Formats: sequence, structure tokens, C-alpha cells
Amino acid sequence: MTETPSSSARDQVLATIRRSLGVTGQEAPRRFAVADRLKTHPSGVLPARATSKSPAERIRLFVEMAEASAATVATVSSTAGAPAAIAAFLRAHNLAPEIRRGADPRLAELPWSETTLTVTEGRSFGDDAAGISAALGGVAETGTLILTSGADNPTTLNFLPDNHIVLLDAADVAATYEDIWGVVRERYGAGVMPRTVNWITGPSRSADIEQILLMGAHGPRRLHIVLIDPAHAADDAKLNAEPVPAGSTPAEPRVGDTLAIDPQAPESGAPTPPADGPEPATLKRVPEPKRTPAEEDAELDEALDESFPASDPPSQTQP
Amino acid sequence: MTLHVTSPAFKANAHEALSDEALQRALTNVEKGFIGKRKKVADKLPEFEALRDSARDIKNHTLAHLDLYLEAYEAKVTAAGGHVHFAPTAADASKIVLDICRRVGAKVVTKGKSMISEEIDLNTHIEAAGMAAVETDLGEYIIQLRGETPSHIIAPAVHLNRDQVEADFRRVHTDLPDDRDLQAPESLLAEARGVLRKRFLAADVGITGANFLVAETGTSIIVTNEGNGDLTQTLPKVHIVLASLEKLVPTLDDVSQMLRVLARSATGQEMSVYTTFSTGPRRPNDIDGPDEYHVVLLDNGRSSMLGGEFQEMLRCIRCGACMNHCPVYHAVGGHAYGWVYPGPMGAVLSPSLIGVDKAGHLPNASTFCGRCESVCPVRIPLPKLMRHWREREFERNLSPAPVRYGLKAWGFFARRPALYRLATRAAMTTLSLLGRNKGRFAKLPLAGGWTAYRDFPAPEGKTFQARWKAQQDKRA
Repeated sequence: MTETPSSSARDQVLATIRRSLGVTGQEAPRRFAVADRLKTHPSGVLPARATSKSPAERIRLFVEMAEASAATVATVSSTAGAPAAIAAFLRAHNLAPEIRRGADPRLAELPWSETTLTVTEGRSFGDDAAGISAALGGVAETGTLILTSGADNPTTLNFLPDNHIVLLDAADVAATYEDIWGVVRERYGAGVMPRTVNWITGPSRSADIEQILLMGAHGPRRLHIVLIDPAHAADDAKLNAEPVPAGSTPAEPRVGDTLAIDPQAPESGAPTPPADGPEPATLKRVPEPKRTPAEEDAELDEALDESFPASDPPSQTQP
Repeated sequence: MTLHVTSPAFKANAHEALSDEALQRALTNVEKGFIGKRKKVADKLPEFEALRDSARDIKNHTLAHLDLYLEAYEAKVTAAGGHVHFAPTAADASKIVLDICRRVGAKVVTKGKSMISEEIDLNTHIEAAGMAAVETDLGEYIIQLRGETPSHIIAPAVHLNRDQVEADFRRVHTDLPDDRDLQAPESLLAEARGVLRKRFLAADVGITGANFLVAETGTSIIVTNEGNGDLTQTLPKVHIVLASLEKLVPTLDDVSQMLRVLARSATGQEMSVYTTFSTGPRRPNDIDGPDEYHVVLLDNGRSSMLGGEFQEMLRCIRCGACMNHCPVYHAVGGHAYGWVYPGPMGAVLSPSLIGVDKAGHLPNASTFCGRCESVCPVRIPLPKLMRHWREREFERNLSPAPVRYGLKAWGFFARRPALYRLATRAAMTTLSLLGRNKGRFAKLPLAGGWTAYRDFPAPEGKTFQARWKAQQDKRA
């Protein structure tokens, strides 16, 4: 940076810090301690619930935690099944068969033509109902998606569309955040980051009004994860072996009864023609009202015990 | 330094808060909401206590090497194309921000939630310069409409009820139909979302805070649930990060440790919805993101806290757990504390930043029950630090005269045990004789503060020490 008036402010602040700490800044042991930590970045405490798992269990934990954060997950056995799963999600929510994506080859190369989806490429300017990104990875311990910015996956697609769909390869599901930093360091170089790394755990929400949890604050009101898991082939085979009508969809999105589900969405997944583009911006309170507080508590407890869901948060935890 | 410091009037503020019915109704949400959720999610993670130790140690290490980590951090931000501005005072920080806004000809400035912005009273300065400052966090937006300050560091509008929010929206959003239904909180959120979406897209500069800064990579981090911080920093041409010096941690691994305790302590979530790591402006091939990235590093008295008895306060990660668990906060809410930081963390930090002469009441507004320390994710010994302030207040003769003379008198007797026993025995005997009919006193000299609200029970005749001695003698 060029010399600006702020350099004297800088010197002033650093001098006060050094005076308070009783140091000069030249002490070799201190300099070594800092350089060493920056270079070796020791890991600290890692949660056994993620590190102790086999790859298959890790993926199950990821799905469980993601659903507990009110995301929905559709598992398909190969990329070939992804477009159909995406189309099914849009249909289930009565949305137009349109989606916007970045230039990421993992998205560009999907067999979109097998569906009737209209796919456009580029950043969002706020007029898309659905956007799709390809994730760098996922973290099992909290069901968190890791997205990196760039032309491949512009950040605006993560936040402006009402519906955010994320393509995630099961092989990229790591146990812990620290594992993901290993991937980032390898890809971008030590000490180097893309402009933004987004950790996303569930859809947008706020509890700023009377601590009531409301979904869809400023970001997407739905987060749908399309998980590509070849180990899922066994399930596909089972499905195909059963005498169900042979569908072209390798796997229906598992739109479970997680907190984010719009209760009015058609359950059948039957193709409902979109009325006029995206559905109106109505917001659903979660959990549904008209229950006694005791019932709600009991239900919440049960849900917590089963699946660690995120509970009513206030909007932010920012300083 | 900043406007709106009413901390010297804490007692009057608290009195008013206790008789404010709407406030008392809203405050029940604090105790009801936060405590159980934090406990549940902490209990689900067997490593939680070890992570608290880890978080404490990381912060201690960083503070002991803060000068060197700041240099490393600055070098990385610069290498990524960003700019670091050091601001020794609140006025310096505001000026740096305004200079950037003016240079790019900003008209609309959107803002993610930032307590540093509150500390330097930035909105007042932006508005005075003829630009619009738009708070985008739902809670911050609501209080901005009301011309209020946050009453909680993570739930700024926790002191309000929905009918109050509805009234404000009807007052301000006059371009919307009068007959719209705003009964449900959902419709309030939808309305705010619609109004703010337009401001996000129109903004020239976006200002966010930072939960952490990472020296390894020159990265700033924000943690939100709404996504407003991300829209604030992604859409405009310029992103300005406001952060105080002590937000720094060494590495990405270190910040991962901190993040594991932050959301759990703050909102009882396993992880907040959006945790965003920003490093420099948009890259050559990026198709979105800001062209400029600035970090304003505020000192404002913090560097002088290093090496002293309040250094531990600089570990604070602003999760709000201390106030969520504080019986005093539950009773009076955040505004009574009179400045930006309420609750136990405010009771320790505010005297450091605005002076014990102004904020001296705050460390006294504690029962020393210790719940704040027991939940603090970085294990700050808040009661001990409040006691340090009480000692300083006493030493500087800032305590009221009755307290000073009372403590001096007590000290005189306490240093002379025989005299102490004699005096207390005489007092207890007299009181038990005087009160033997009713067994209580409705009025008592020097105890008006007590007897104004409840009776003072009459002693039974013997002092504690006398009874203890008798019992020990009997056993022996």
C-alpha cells in the first residue's frame, strides 16, 4: 500500500500495543511463535462425531445435519440423475422450470436436455426464482455446504434467488471444517483465498421479531442439496427392482418433513404447470401455529433429540 | 466520543425499565429463548468444554502477539488487493469511512449488523454527510426506523413486541396500501424483505462488521442467519469492513475452533446459516463482488487494555451468552446500561472504553451469581473483572459517600476481630429486643433501600460467629 496519512495512525496503534505488552516486536521467540503458527496451523479440538465415522456414515451424518438445518436433500447415484432431481424439486414447489447457473463445468456438463428445464448462465441480478451452484465440498459435522466465488459459481446465485440448489459430490463431503481448509490450501495455495468462501447451513431465517423463527429473511427461503453418491446405486437398483411405475427419475428428491417444507406444496410431485412464474412471496412460520406451547415444546424436543436441528436463532451473531 | 451515553443514569434507567410493561413482556423472550437452546446444543457436543478452553487459548495467544499478527494480517489483505486503515479513535474510523463513501460518490450505503458501527455512531455521521445509511439486519432495520439503539448485541430489537413493529412499518412504509394485513410476524418479515431488497440493489457502498479476522490469509468473516450481510457486501462497488483490533485470530484452523463455540453460545445453533470468509475485492475473472475492499481497524482504547487487568475482556467474541443468562439483564433489558454494550460484558468493557466515571454503575449492577462466567465461550472471568472496576471506583472516590463511609467503617471493625464481635453482638441483641414483638422491621435507619420493598427480619439474638463457636464447642 502507498504511504498515506493512515501510516502514522498505524504506527501509533502498533506502538501502543507494544508499550502495553512490554515488547518491541523484534523479539526472536515471539516472531518465531507467530511465523510457526501461521505456517503449521495446528488443528485443535475436533468433534469425534464427525472424525470417527466411515465415509458412508459421514455422508449420512452430513444429510442428517443438513436436514436438521432445514435444508432438503435429494440423493442421486450419478450426475446423469441430477437434472431430473432438480426439475422434480422445482415442480414440487410449483416453480417455473427455469434455473440460473455459473460456468462451472460440473454444472455445464449435466445432461440438462433430458429435462424441459430452461438453463441460463451468469450471475444473478435478483430476478431469478432459482439458482444452482456446485459446491467445493460439504462438512459432515454440521451439514454445512462450502462454496467458493468466481465465474464458475458467482456469489450472487447463493443469495438473490428465492430457491438455492447446490450440487455436491459425496466424495467432497469432509468430516470437519479443518479438512476443507486442507482442500482450499491445496487448490489456491497456502495463505491464499478466493474472494469469498461461503459456508451455508440451511436456508435464510430470522428471529428478530419476538424471537419467533421465520424462514426466508433476505437470502433464499429454500436450500436444496442434490447429492451425487455412487454408493446410492444400491438404492436405485432396489427401487428399480420393485414393481413401481418405471419413472425416468433415478431418485425422487427426498423432500422430507424438515422445517423448511412448505406444507402447501403438492406432495405427489405431479407436474403442476406454474401459474405465473414463481409462487408469490408468502412466508411460512415454522413450526406451524395452532398448537399449544406444550405440544410445540414436546415436538421440538423430539425433533432435537432425533436430529439436532437448528433452533430459533436471532438474525445474526455479528458484532 | 459518542452520542447517547446514558450510563451515568443507570439507576434511573433501570427504574424506568422495571415499570415499562411492554419492555417486560418482550424481555421474557430472552430468558425463554436463549438459555435452553444453548444448553441443548452444548450438551450434544461432548467436546464443547474442551473447545471453550481451545477458544480461550487461541485468543490469549493472539493477544500476546497482537502486534505481529496485525502486521501479518495487513500484509495479506494488501497482497489480495485490499486496503487496511488503522483508526486510533472512533472519530478516525468515521472519517475513514466517510472519505471512502465521498470519493466514490455514494448516495445509498447499506449496512450489515456491526457493533463497531454503533460504537463509533457511524449512521449519524453518514446521514450528516448527506448519504442514506440503511440497516439491513431485520432487528437493526426496526430500531433504525424507531431512532433507537440496539438493546442486545445479537438480537437488537429484542426489547420490542410485534405490535410496535407493525406500527413503525405503517408509519414509515407509506407507499404500501393502508389496508394490508400485518398481524402475523411473517407478513412483517415479508414487507421488510421487499423494502430492503430494493435498497440492496441500489447501494453504492456496503458496510459490514467482522466476527473474526484471519492473519494467515487476510480474511474477514461475518456470521449471519438472514443473509443480509452477504447481500450488503456482494452487490455494491465497495465493501468496507469495520472491525476492532481484537477480532484477529492466527489461522483458518483457529477460526474454525472459534466458530464451533460462537453459534452454539449465541443462538443455540450447531452453526449459523451463513458464515462468510471475504478476502480482498473481486478477482480478475469474477463476475460479481465488490471492486474495492477496505478494512477499518478500530482501536478506541483497546490497545491500552493489553497487559493490564482487563486484557481478558479482549477475548470476547460478542456472542451475547452472558447477557442471555444475566438476571439483571432479564430484569432491565439492554437500554438501561446506557451505551452500546449491555449485560455483563458491557459492564466490564464500557468502563474501559468510555471511562469508569461514566460507566461506574454498570459493574455494580451484578449479583455476582456467576452465570455469565459459567457460559462464556472464551471463559472470561466477568465477575472478577467487575470486582476490579468496583475496587477502582472505590479507590478513585467515585462511589457514593454512604458506600465509601460504610465500607470504611466496616473495614475498621473487620480489622479488629474482638471489637467486631463486641459490636455485632451488641447490635444483634438490640435488634432482637426491639423486634421481638413482630419478628420484623418495616423501617430501619440506614436500611431504607431494603425496607422500602420488604420487611427486614429481626435477628434471633446471637451472631453467626457466636452460634458457630457454640456448635464447634459442643462437637469438641
